[in-house]
Amino acid sequence: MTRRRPVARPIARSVRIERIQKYVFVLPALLLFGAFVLIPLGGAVYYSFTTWGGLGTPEWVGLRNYRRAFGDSIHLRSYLNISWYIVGTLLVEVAFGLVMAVLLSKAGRLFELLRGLFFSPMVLSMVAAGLLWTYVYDYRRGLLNEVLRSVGLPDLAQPWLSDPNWALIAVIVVSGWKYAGFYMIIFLAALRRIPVSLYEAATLDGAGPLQKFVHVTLPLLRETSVVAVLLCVTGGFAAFDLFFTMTNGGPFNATEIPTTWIVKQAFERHNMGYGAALTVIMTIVVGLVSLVYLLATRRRHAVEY
Amino acid sequence: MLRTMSRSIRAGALAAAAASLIGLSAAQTEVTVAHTMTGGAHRVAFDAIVDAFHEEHPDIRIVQNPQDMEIYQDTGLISMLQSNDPPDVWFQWGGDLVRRDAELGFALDLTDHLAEGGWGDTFLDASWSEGTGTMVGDRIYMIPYAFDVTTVLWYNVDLFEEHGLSEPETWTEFLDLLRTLREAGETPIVLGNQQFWPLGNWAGHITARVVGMDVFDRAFTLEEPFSQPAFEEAFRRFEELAEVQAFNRDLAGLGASESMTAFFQGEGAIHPIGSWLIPNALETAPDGFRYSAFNTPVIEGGAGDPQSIIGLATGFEVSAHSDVVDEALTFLRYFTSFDNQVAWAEAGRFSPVEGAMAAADIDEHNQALAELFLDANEMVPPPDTGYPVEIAGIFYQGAAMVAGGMNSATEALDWIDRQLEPLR
Repeated sequence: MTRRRPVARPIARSVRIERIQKYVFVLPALLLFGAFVLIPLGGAVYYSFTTWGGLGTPEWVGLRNYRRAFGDSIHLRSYLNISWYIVGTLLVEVAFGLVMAVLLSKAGRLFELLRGLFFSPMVLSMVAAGLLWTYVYDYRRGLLNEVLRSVGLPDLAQPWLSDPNWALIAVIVVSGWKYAGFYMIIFLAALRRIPVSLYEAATLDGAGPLQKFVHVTLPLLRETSVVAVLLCVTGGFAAFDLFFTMTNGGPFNATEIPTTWIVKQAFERHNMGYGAALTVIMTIVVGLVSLVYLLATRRRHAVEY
Repeated sequence: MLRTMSRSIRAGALAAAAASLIGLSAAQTEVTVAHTMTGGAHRVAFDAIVDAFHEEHPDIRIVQNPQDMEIYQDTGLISMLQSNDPPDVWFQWGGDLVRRDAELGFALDLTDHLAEGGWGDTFLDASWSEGTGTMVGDRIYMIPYAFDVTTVLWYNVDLFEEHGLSEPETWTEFLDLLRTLREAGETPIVLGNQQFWPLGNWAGHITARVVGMDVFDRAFTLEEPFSQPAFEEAFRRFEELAEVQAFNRDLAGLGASESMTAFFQGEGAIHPIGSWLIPNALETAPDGFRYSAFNTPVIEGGAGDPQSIIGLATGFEVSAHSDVVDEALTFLRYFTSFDNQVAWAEAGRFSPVEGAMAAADIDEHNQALAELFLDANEMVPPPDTGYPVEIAGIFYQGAAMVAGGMNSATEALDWIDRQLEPLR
């Protein structure tokens, strides 16, 4: 009994030190997270219960901003628009990126060049891409309408970004042009991890290219697809710069999304309190969507190979 | 030895220079001036006035803080005023923002200062009113430095001559003119309304002409709804514009400056925008481009002043918390002196100082606008400066819906009232 004490003390001390060390190592990250995320978020929550124009003292109004948000038709419409945008980008970014990854996964100079070209829009900033495509879509001298006019289809030339029926589609196309290459790279990396023997076995079983894609490739890409979809959905909610440069929510709110509406309320109309309430709502919505999606896809699709 | 002496001399000279610099800066009082003049002829004129002021007043130093106009309007000025070191003098748009700055205690009451030595009497009488936006109640909070007409109808003289058109006097004549242009394959009005204010300003003027200023004011201060017969009558004018296909097809998505460029390139016969078209024409219009302007035509049966113009005063406010109020006012007196205002007018700004415009050597377009201004009995404030910007923004969008053919007058006015409901 007496011999144990000298041994137990160092062990207990080292456990204590380990415990303290954990917190010491985490502390810098925690401080940064607190300073740049938690405190501003707390500030936004506080301001969301006030009316404040940016000057003077905020006035406490309780839940008024939240009641207003749920009756604000443009705010509600912005969630519908962003939902359509996300559905669109899932198709033109994720699905198209997957198709391109499969088509361009072969070795060879030509395929390397095509992969590089397809990925190249990623190096542009969103603002640059938005401005570039604004010129492409320009009604008067834009490339798209010039092509349509030059091939004898002048009636198809449209004011793409001024027409509520076309504006959101036009933005989705640009988003796809910009990001499909990114998802292609993600899927390419995952494709290369699939053992060739699985395809050889499928070939011996008489499977054609389509069957191999459906029954071998797709199941083994499920984990990657989960990440890609999550990135696309959360990235979609955070979209702003492309909309800001191309349409700024117009025409007639046809491309109004939560972020553009928040910026308009907070900085153009100086409704900081209402803008903060919209920000809190958006944070909750994005958090919930991400959580539900992660729970729904958790481990279910894990395939080991 | 020589090296040591040389070192001593250099050290002594440096010390003397530093001492003189310290002495100079200690003797000078700095007055910070925040504004939106980032370039153009008026900035050149302003800089020249500041330089001349420095020569006359070596004890005062004007420190300019220019910012891009949109940034200044959205976040720039608010951030500066909230900071620990707010500017001593700042640019402001007359109207609701002056009211805000006065009510929150940021802007100094200038009434007594302007009464000293008859300084206030050197300005045009129109400078001092709540309508102009310099006053709150009977107190003055802004010294105007320019009047801006925010919408007149600029037109392409060559296109008008080609189609045998002349300036319309009435709204009916105006609609006929638009039909003629459309039937001739022209775009009658080219405008970029992506941000709603270009058409919104004009819509505000048309509405004030139809409903009269009292009803206009009561609706914009939310004392009355917009859905009422007078406003329906006003919005029918926008329906008429949509019916004659007055606007370019990309009205809703085109930017304001892009539409001005389109006008200069002959892609539309009429461009409703403010007095700032003149300096832009000097910079970007092709050689030989001929243009002129007319006011919004008389709207038959309207309850408002048929000759009114839409515009506002812009100017400087002085911080109520400034330690250098006297020096700031010394500079503003100097800036608004007759000679400097003549130079200011020659740089393209409409001077509010009595006689400055008449004495200045200004071009025909500025002269025409000056006459328009002096002939007007009433100045309608643009909704986005005369009233809270949120109310104006909703009104602008409602007007755009009708002019763009998206909604009827009744639908748009109902929509405006629904949007304004939480603010009432």
